[in-house]
Amino acid sequence: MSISTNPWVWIMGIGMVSLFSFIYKENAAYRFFEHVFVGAAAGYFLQMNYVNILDRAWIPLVAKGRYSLLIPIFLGLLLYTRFFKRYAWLSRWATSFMIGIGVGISSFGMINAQLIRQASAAMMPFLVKDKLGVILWTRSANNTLMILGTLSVLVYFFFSYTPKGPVKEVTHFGRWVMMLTFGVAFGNVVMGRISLLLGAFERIFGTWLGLL
Amino acid sequence: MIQIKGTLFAFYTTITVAAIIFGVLWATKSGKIVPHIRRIAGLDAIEEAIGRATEMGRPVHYTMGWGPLTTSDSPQTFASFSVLTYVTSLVAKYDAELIVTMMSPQAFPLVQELVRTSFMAAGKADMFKEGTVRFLSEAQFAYAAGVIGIFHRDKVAANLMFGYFMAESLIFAEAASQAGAIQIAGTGSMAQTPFFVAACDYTLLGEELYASGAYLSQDVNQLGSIAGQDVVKLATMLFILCGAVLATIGNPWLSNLLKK
Amino acid sequence: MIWKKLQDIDRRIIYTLMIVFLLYPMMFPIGIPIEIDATTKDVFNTLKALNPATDTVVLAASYSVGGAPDVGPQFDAVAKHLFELKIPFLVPSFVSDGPAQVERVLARLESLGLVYGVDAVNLGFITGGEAAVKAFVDNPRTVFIKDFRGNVVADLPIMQRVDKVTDLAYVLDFQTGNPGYADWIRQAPGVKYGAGLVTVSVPAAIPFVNSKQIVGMLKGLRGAAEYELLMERPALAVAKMDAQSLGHLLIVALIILGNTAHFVDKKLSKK
Repeated sequence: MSISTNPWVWIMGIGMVSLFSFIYKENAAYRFFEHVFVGAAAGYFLQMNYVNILDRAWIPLVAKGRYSLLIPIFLGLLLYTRFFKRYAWLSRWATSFMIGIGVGISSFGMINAQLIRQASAAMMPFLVKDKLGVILWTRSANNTLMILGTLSVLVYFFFSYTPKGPVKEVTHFGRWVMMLTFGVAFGNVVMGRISLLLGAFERIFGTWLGLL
Repeated sequence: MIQIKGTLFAFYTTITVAAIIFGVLWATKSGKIVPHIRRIAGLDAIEEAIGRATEMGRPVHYTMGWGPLTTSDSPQTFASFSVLTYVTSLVAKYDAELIVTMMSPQAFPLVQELVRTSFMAAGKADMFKEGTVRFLSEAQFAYAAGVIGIFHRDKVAANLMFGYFMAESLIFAEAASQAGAIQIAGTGSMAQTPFFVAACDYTLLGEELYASGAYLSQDVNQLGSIAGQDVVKLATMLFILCGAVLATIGNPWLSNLLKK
Repeated sequence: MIWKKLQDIDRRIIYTLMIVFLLYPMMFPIGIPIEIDATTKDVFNTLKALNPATDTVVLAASYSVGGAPDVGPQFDAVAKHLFELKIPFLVPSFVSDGPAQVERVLARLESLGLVYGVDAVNLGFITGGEAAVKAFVDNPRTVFIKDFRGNVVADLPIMQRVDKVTDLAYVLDFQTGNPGYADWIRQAPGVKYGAGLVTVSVPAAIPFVNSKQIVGMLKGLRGAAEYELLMERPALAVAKMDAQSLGHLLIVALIILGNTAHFVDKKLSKK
């Protein structure tokens, strides 16, 4: 591979190196591309939202006569009343509607999929036996640890009770369980961040400079 | 009306959970029970952080991350509103400078209003300026780039992060640490909590964020709601424990009941 | 003195070391062996067991450009696998950056013989997060009016295979955040659902794999590399795994070094 002759690739490469230069110290090149990035993102979202309004609201309303869309369009327009001091309170209607819809859509699924199904998955036997009735100690220990971990973390998140005596020890155990989980999560994140860095290197050293 | 398979138990659970929370809320409001929220160290440290920023003559930065209003993560945003109200009142008390950066265009007007009214309530309406609450970008990393630019240019002394965060969390925590800021964070997003634990001076773990509103305001409605949720948690624990004991003796009754 | 210095290595030295450790294996591959995870096999076997004549799959593109180096290679590998298996797939995007990224993958497959509209369709972006997922689950055929290329979705041959969500044999959702697996699990309880996750999200998703609410999971770039190996077509993701491993090695070494220095220094200062 050889160095790219595509001007867009050059802009990408210079932009990436400039943003990376922040790890040395904050500088003018970083600042310039920071503003370009923020501005470009604003432009991108403006275009996306324009197309969305056109495709999902305006065209179906005008071309297909779906007049029921007048309700969300009206609510959407209410959001702009906040630019007029006298009518700004109307924007709260639209916001309240959005919040209500969001909470309504997710709440039942949350109880079903995330509370009941997860509680059900945690109802594991403390002792696991094979077909011959022999206790499988490793799996039993795993299950027991999982159940105790779940319960102790739940105890940690009791707020209307200040833990004392043995309950305090349970919350300490819960905290340990969480910290171990965070450690695992942190390891995964390091892995993820290296993937992202590799993606950036591939673009800089491969696509742009042609070294890979 | 057709019942979707496997949702009957969930339906009754939804009703029961709501009934428990409303019941405890009613008992709290009528004074039959007086809930007390346990100490949350991270929230107590906010005043210290703002005091330090005041002494240094440098601004306090506040972010609520993605600030979703219409998704299942929106309770984190609402909890963050409570913390921000408290932060604004402290900033007004100490005459410090506050910078709130926003990524959510929907929450932006609400936050502007919230900060403005909090300053007014503290009798410092003139402290609210056009640049106090800044919408930077809806794009995750463009927002992150903007925030770390602010950290370094404005020499932020305290960085407070409460709400729903994703990959930008460590970028913020690392950049603010480089700028020498004291940091307090809280998120319900499990994947991001490890960074906050590692990089911040104080971290609220998971649900502590939801309890922060009640803890800071001592509002009877919020206290009652938290106490009600504790009852639900206790019931869930008992369910899990009973289910595990029954599974150990080979009785699948409870886990089958949950599948109905 | 040396122990004190080791606890506070200049971050620029660490960054330089990291660049060297990552670039070297990208230029000169080492070939460190990769073990394949059971969740990756679940995705592979689920797709392999499908019937091209009757089954249709959804590959939801909910990954942003920022997270694409981690999740994009997964999408590339699975799309290629489905093309080889001749299983048609729909690609709805629930984040705005999705369709343009999908277009690049489909263009590559079209050059190999994929017929757009018959074997695959890029449905475009729908806003609304969880509400959009629900809308798609309720009406997978009609919720997108026009695809990313401007075709009327209802007229495309591939859409004649799908009327309701139960007509979909498998939903594999590539995601870097919201909407993600939690939204799908809440809104599509009866659907066979798998997830292609950004590495950060993996630990939080494990309980849902254990409860079988997620059937098959690809874990970041590593998941993509494993999938490429299962397909016996090692590509970009496999090539990056050497660099990934050396990067980890450096981090582990630095953690051990820093901690050793901390404890030795503490012991010496006590003396």
